[in-house]
Amino acid sequence: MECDFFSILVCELARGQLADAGLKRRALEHASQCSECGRQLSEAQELSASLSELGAADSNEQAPARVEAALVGCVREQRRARRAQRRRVWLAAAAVVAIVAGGLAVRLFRQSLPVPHNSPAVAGPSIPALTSRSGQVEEAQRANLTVFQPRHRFAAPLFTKEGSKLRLATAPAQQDSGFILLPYGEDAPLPGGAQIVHVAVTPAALAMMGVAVPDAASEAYIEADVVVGDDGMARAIRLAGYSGQ
Amino acid sequence: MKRELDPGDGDLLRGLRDGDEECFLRIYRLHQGAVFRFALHMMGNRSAAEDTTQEVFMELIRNPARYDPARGSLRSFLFGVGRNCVMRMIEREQRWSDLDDDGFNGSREPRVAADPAGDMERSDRMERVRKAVLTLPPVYREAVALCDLNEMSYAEAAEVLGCAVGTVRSRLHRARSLLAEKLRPLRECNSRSAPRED
Ligand SMILES: [Zn+2]
Repeated sequence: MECDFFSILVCELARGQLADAGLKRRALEHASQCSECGRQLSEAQELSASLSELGAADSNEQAPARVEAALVGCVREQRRARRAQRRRVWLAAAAVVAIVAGGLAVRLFRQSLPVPHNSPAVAGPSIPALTSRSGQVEEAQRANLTVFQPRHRFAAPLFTKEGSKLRLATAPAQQDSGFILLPYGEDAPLPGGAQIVHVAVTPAALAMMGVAVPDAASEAYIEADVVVGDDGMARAIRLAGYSGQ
Repeated sequence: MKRELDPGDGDLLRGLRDGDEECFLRIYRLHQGAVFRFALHMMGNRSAAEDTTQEVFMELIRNPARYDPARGSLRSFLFGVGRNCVMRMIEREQRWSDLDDDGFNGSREPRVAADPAGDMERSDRMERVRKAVLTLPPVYREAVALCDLNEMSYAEAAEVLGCAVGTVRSRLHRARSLLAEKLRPLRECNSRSAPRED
């Protein structure tokens, strides 16, 4: 065996990893006859012994108990977060169903009543929704947009209609009313009138509808007024406040 | 020490994904020691090894889907994450180039607090070997840490390092040559001080 070839094998030989028995025998023979290769082998064997000694000395080393405790805390936190997320998704879905169902109910109710031409769709107290600011009332009436406000009074006109599209009235009326258009509501045609439905929803449900809420993870309910078109589709929303857990 | 792909890993990981604490603890207790020791051998610093271990398992808790059983054992995956973490730390701190003559630049706790047999020579020799390993360039150091200190096969080390088996073999060969060179003065000193037999 050549010295160069031996130096390629010496690492495997010292580590006891040279599987080929014939090659191993020839390498050992060479080491016993060549002083330089013999020195290389004994150096490599000593190194293997030192590294094994070091590995064995450290074999009981492990991370302190506080690491395990911190990680278990993380597993629990993760589990809580996943459960809360699942719950929020269900609540959001339920809230959306409730809103749509409410809208349909309103629509059915209105269809069962006689509707006078160019007047509020539902008989009862005067309509406060689209009042004041000159011109805008007429415009809204021309647009056949009737918005009821069962509980709260708001003075400024809320919406105008361009063609068949619903548009939020310009500031400051928009700020006065507190209503915001839902992202898809803006472009949805509004064939008939609209109705305000008072609902209680979770922030997650609002977030799903595209409403920016400060704490979507909260499980508190938010009361809101939702403008539902005659077609049953929610167009705009006004947050009323938190009602607690 | 050498483990093949463990069919139980899949069940444990499914449990972990569902937030099963017991499953996590079984995985953690099975692998944490090896991950910790690898980080310790790579950085020579217990606190950094602790951080690495925590980061490795945190990653598993947050993204268990990152582990693909088709690509190797869970142990290799954990070592791989640990290896990336260690390399980032080494890059950040340039620890290996800052080592002073006494080794471990003071940040490291004494390895052997008490030696009842009074075998100071053995402990001193081990510290020198440890220091020599820590002064190796990281790519050679990890080959030694995995194959010689953690007794991994070339194939498993290749899985951890994401390279060919031949690359592991040649890196280990080179690493051991460098180590032998670094330890040669100690060896010569020992052979001079050893009692003559004749
Ligand atoms: Zn030779």
